[in-house]
Amino acid sequence: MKKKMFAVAGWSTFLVLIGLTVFLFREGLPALYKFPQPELVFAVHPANPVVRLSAEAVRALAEGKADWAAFGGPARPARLVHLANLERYLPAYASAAEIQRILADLAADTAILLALPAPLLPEAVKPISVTWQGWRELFGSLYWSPTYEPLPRVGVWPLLVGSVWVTFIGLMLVVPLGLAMAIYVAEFLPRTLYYPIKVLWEVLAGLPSVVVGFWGLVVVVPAVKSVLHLSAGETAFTAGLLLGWITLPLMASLVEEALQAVPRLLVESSYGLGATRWQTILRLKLPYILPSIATAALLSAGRILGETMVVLMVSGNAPLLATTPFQPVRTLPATLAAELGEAPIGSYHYHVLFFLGALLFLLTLALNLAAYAIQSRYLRAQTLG
Amino acid sequence: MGKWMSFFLFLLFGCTDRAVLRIKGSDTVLPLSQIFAEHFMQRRGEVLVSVTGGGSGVGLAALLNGDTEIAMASRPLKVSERLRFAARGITVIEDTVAWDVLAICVHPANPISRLTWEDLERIYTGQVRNWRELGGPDLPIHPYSRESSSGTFEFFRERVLRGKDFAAHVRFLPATGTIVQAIAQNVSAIGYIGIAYTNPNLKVLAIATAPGKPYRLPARSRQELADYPIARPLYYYYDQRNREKVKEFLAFVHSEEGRALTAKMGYVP
Repeated sequence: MKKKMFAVAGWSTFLVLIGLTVFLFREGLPALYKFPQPELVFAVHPANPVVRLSAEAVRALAEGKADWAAFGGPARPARLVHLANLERYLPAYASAAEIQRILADLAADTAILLALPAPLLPEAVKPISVTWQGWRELFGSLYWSPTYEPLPRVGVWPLLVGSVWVTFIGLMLVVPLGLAMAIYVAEFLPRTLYYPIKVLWEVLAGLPSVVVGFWGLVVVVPAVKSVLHLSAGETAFTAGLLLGWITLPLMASLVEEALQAVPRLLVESSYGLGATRWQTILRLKLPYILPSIATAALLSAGRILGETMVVLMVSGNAPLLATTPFQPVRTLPATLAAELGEAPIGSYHYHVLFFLGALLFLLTLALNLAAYAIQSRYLRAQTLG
Repeated sequence: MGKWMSFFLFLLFGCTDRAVLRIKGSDTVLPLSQIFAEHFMQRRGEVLVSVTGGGSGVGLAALLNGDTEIAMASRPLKVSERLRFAARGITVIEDTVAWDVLAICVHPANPISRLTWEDLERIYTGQVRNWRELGGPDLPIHPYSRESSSGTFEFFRERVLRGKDFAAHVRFLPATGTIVQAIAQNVSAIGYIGIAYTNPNLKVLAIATAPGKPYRLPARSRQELADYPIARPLYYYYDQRNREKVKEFLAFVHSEEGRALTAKMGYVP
């Protein structure tokens, strides 16, 4: 009976996890093959010889960065009318008939580019096809602007680079400091203080990240700005710094446990051979627990990579392809947190956000698998040795 | 059993003998409607006004389905929505309740005190990157914006940037409060916020709609809006057939007292 209960609990958790993963990928993969605006028909004036445009061409025309001549049309800049800017051309109380008439007038312009739902499209226009290659848009573009009309920009590189910068800075802080904390607590701390310190770590690890984020915004952001003489304090560095701090307890306790687990036999042999305490730590214990340190670092990296609230508050969230850590960055989790609430379910934006979620999942999975691989190899080596 | 039955019947009828006015929609308009409802119910105890948020789209969908008497919206009806109402034979009446005026703010130590609309567009689209180019100090410009999920963001992109996209270096912060915080602590910053959120730690810029036009501070009355059009109207929409039902509440909203409440909340009545 008891066995059954445990089996049910275990398997149901496993099934829920599988279900969530399947859901994540099922919602994310359409970003690769769906068209972002399925309800819109793109159309031009019949005298315009253009029949096909790439997504990039539509955006260039929309922003006035290119005129029709670049795509074989008349030598005029395009006049774009789409669902989001249609209001500019309509009076406050236009009836359906009035809307049709105004759109027909607009469509008489040879430089017109319409992106409208089929029922609104005037009769005397020529529909064109707009090509959208999801794979290229996601991985071939360096811009992130997923709500841009009429076609979004969904390049994931700025977000990936942002996440990598924050994780890198966080690790630069958490690995040396975590090691130092662990060595101090395991080797030098008076035994009476051991448990109070361990409890303090737990408390630190349990601080709500919103609190850390707000504290970061009010205290750390201005501090980073003035200490480093930057012109603005919301940077990848600031986010890495804060995330390093909140990950410190995790890193330190993992390393500390590994230090405590070094076999007494080895340690006493070291002392017996005349090694000092420092020599034993540096020459015996640290090399012995190296795989555990690597595992701890990878798990910390996973924790930093997935953190949402703190980065949302202090990293500046600019979807910039950052070349230094002193620029603002937009990370994958911050993007999900900021945008998922407002993306209509089933829309392209929604699918792209789930695609980001799947990417994040794969990255974290890779880190955890690497940690697991190191750990299991080390265990095998120990039992064999 | 009979005792419980009569208790429930009492609850049921005890509630329904008050007329109910439901208001639903935009979270931007929500606090304003709550204040209106509170004060309205103090005078007219027999009317129960229930106010719920959810977003402009949610309120309009409820209006379409007859689940609310008034839909609050921080944007005008979309064309697709107009057509949907028309298809159901519903004539919707639009009532502009208030204007949410945006203030363009910088740090008080920034010597710049006025910009043209063009400058603003060039700052946010990344064509101008240093305050020197606008006659200010030799400092980089750090533009701040709300996240893309906010209605204020959409308004700013569509109306102020005229549909152009934000530059990649614009910093996006999750709430108005965080933008206020960011500008207050950074001389190079610029940001846009509702005038209700301005405070002495920020300098509000005067804006000219075109070169040669006068520079104006954010409007405080409807007359001033003509010269300071960086403002979005907040609407109530209702079904024409419900005109009688909502008449009294709307009269209160537009009364002297209602307008005073609107101004107190930081909007232009």
